Amino acid sequence: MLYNPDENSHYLLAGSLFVHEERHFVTTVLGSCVSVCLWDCVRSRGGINHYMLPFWNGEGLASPKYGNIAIAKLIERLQQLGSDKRNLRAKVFGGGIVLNVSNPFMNIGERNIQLAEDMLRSENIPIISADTGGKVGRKLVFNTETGAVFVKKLTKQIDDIRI
Amino acid sequence: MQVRNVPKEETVEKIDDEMLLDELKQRFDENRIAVANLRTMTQNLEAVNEKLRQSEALKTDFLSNIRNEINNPLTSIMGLTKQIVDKKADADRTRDIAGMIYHEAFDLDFQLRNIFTAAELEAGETNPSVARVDVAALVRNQIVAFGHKAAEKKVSLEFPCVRPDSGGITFTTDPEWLQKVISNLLANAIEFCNEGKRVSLRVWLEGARLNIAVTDEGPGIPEADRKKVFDRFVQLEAGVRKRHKGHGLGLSIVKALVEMLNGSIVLTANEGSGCVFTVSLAEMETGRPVDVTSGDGNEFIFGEGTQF
Repeated sequence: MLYNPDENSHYLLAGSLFVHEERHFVTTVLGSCVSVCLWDCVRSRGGINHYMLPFWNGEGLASPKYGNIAIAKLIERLQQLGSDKRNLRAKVFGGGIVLNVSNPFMNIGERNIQLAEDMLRSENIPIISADTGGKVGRKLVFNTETGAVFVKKLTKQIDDIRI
Repeated sequence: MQVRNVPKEETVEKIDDEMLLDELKQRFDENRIAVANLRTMTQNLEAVNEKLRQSEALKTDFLSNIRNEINNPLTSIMGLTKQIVDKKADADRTRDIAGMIYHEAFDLDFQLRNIFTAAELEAGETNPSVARVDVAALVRNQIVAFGHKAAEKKVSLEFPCVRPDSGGITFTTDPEWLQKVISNLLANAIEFCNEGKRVSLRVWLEGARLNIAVTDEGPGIPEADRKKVFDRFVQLEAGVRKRHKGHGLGLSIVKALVEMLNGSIVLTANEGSGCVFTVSLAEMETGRPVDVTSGDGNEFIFGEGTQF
């Protein structure tokens, strides 16, 4: 895959998701946030989300800023476009460690990754590749047609990355 | 088997009492931390549980609100139009009726737009379309649009921020979202302001940030409830005590939009003397949203990244 910035491209904001039938190059930047890329291997189309926290706790709107909503919505949107859940393959990225916290319950990145793994397992969607954790930010480009994902680790201090 | 056992026996011999105590102490500490963590988690769970219970109640409230908020204006619009259709009204009366229809439709439109915006935000497929925005003009338009609501309550709207000759305040952001933020803050301020008092808006640039403050002279919000007002379907007076219009969606929308626009919203209030909502936005890049690294992804062509 050659990434062509002139082709259909989309910048994915934190807390939103993107699904399209045609080929799009979706770019996003992750710190402790996690993106789940779902790709339909039969229909050659896919979608991606970008969530900041694992669970919606009733605060604000029930938006895809929260993993449990973002993953469920992403699957639902692909199904609405006619995808069969059995043909979906997942790739998981992000979930870096933003601050050195001793309390494991406070590590947002780790909890975001765990949620993706748990939810995808219970939905029976296999994770075919992943690049998660560590003290790095990530910039990624997802090709919705081929499911290919390019990841570049960001050398910038992860604390500076808001998302 | 015996070969493996030898080093183990050696280590066992080497552990003296002191080391044993240290080890024990460490394990107890770990245990204590684990218990404390568990307690925090349980408390969090209790809070979430309570939220979910409230959420169920809110859903019921929402359904019963629909009647007041949507059906009633529609009924009065139909009643008023009927008078014109039946030719029961002369020219003057017709003009009055048209004004009333407009106001009812305005409320209805505002409520419905909020519901749709909330639905779009929850679907997560909204994206900002960024442009240069004349903020002062946008605020002035909203003040004109809400003029009749303020007049009904005898509330005066003040917007002293820019001199007419200073060329206004321009800022790069999503104009539609900004308009939704301002209209909701303004509508709330008027709704909760005491009769005959003032609502004032201030807009100013601070470095690369745009700040908007909306102040009302209403009853204010108690400290304990200040976080709750940003939740969806929340009005502090709900159920039978409900006195104010709306579904309680406005502030949850405002907060979500402001966050998507790289901003924050702060509520400062003194119980008994009104509220101040201050929004602070970072400027967006035209054409594409703010990105922390170089925008165009050329680096991937030259094989710097890893493919997954």
